[in-house]
Amino acid sequence: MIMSQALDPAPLFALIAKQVPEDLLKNILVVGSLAAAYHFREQLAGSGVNTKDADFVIYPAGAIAECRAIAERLLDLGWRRHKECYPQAQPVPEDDLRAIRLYPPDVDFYFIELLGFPELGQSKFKAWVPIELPDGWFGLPCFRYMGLTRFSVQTAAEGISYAAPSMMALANLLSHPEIGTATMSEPIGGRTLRRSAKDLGRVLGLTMLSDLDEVEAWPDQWEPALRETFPSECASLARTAGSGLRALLSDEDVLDEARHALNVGLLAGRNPTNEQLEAIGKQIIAFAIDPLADRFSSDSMRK
Amino acid sequence: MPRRTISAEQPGIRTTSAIVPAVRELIPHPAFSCHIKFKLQHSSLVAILETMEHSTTRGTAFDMEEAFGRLLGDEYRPTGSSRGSLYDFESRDQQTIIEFKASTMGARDLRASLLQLAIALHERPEVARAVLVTRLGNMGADRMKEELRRLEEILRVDLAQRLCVVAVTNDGTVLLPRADHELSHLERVAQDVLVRRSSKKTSALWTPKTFQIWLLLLDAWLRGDGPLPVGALGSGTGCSYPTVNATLERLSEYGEVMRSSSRGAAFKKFPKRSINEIMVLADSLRPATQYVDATGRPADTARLMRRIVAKAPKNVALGGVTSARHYTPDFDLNGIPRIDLTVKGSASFDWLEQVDPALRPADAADLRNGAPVLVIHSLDREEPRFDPASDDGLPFVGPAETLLDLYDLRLTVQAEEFVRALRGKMS
Repeated sequence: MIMSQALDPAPLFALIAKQVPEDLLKNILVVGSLAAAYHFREQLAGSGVNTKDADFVIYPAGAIAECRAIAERLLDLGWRRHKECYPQAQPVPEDDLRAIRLYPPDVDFYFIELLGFPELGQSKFKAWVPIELPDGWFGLPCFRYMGLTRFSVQTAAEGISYAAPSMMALANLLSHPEIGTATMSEPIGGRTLRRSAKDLGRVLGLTMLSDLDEVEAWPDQWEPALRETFPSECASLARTAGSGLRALLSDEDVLDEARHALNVGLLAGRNPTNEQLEAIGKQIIAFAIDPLADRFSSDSMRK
Repeated sequence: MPRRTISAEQPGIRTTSAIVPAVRELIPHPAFSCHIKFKLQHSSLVAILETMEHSTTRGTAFDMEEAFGRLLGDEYRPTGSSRGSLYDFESRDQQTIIEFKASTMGARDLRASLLQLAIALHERPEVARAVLVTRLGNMGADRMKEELRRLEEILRVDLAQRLCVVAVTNDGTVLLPRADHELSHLERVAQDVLVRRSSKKTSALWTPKTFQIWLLLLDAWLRGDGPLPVGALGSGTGCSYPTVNATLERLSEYGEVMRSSSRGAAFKKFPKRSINEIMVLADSLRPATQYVDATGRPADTARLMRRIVAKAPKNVALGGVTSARHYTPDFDLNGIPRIDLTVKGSASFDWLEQVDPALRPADAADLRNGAPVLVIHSLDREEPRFDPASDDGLPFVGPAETLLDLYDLRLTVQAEEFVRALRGKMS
């Protein structure tokens, strides 16, 4: 694992704002732990976030030319490719394509990864969109539920857009309707963790950092996002949005993996306990997930 | 209560200590409480010898006498059925005799006890001193000294000079004529038996039922309602007339209650003594469940209050700081340090899950680490005397319960100001 140092989001946002052409900034949406760290920077008291990669989603879907322009611009300014970021001669097979990962100039402890926005109706959980740079073909990973993050977009002082915690929470909830067996490619804090534990743990972390009045308002944002992004599936998605989280809360081992991921990542230094996270989980279920399902219950009855 | 009579003519009933087992045989039930007086004639003097309260749940005067005897040490022995009709213990060197009385209620009892010892001194000229060891129920030290002085004026000098008293009063322990080694020893034993052990007697008065009587009286006083009919005290609390009457009598002895000619009763001033007793026993008289936020987040009582008002059932009333502000809008405190609720009747708090599923009952470690965010009191009284909210929201508990919540919150200054705001003054 790349040993990480605490990543302060504000300077990175400032760097991006400075180095990416202004007309291309509107195509960048920061997601993941960096977005969360920026949004909650006061609660986190400037402690930064332990992450090795910053996820930059290039949107809207299909903005291939804009993505290419951003990558070429950064490379021209001295950003360096990650060792796993190497070109393929052909756009297929898609599974062989490598993601675009770039280190900032003079910085080695984190990199940015460019992601793609899913097309409306994408059914695969993860799809690869080929993108050609001057030296060959790379891939933009497009996650099915990432499309939800285009709702309630937040804007940083530096002019960079980032995903709202509410929408990242919903995307992670929907991405893991069950615990599953898939693990992270590298250990986190010395432990191999299930991906679902990390991502659902992120949901708990976002809830813990949020004001509960805001959490109660999350269904107001979730409902229109679901209806517009998944018009034919929104009711069933709303009903099952909490299934993975409920499974995590009822499994002490998986809950502990989530706790570990948070202690190393978003909530580093806060040391939440399993009991505290379980209580947080009950709150988001009671205040946001169940109310979301209730809003769609009449949809199901009409069918 | 059935009347039972012990005749002084009965075989074997000739001494104080023989009365006790005889009375016990008459008691039909372990929890039976009785009040016994009897007379024995001796020469030309009539003495009221014993007033005894018997309760098997809280300890007896007889038990206290036994405990006193054990703690006296080997230098003293109980007199038992020998010449102990006038005193209970004697030093082995026969220089000191001791009469132990668990409680002396009033001047008449005190005089009787002292006269009894004076008789013993007359009959035992070799005894150096006779000591009355007792707890004075409603007599202060000065009054007790005055009574002894009056008695000494009419007694023969050699009797008066040998009379001593070790008395536990509300003002502290009094040693007469003055402290010395022996009287100080008796004082320490008396403190142990009559103060520390007999504190249980205070709780014998205050049961959950009698506490409700007291609470109704306080509520009426704070509201300025005037005397409550004794019948209303009974029906409002589910207490029998004897229980109501006994409670009112005790509060009258404290000087706190006045009885009206129309069979009503009211506090005539702020009941300082009884409220101090009650606050010591608050945990048992006013059971409560304390809750903490299991998430570890800093308490947001304002938000929690909004959730409670929106989700709680209608048998839940708001107390504490919230109700204090209802009764006294100028209540001097920022924010809500803790939410106090009172729930009438139901023992189930399942609705709390709807308010916030992160709330859980506090354990000892929680309370060591910080205050609870929510306290729920249960109210088992037919008439809750809740005040309705103006906006059809949750009602408010009465001012008496509000006051107890403030004391429980250690908001003593605000509690006193609350009383002044309602009554104009503390007395």
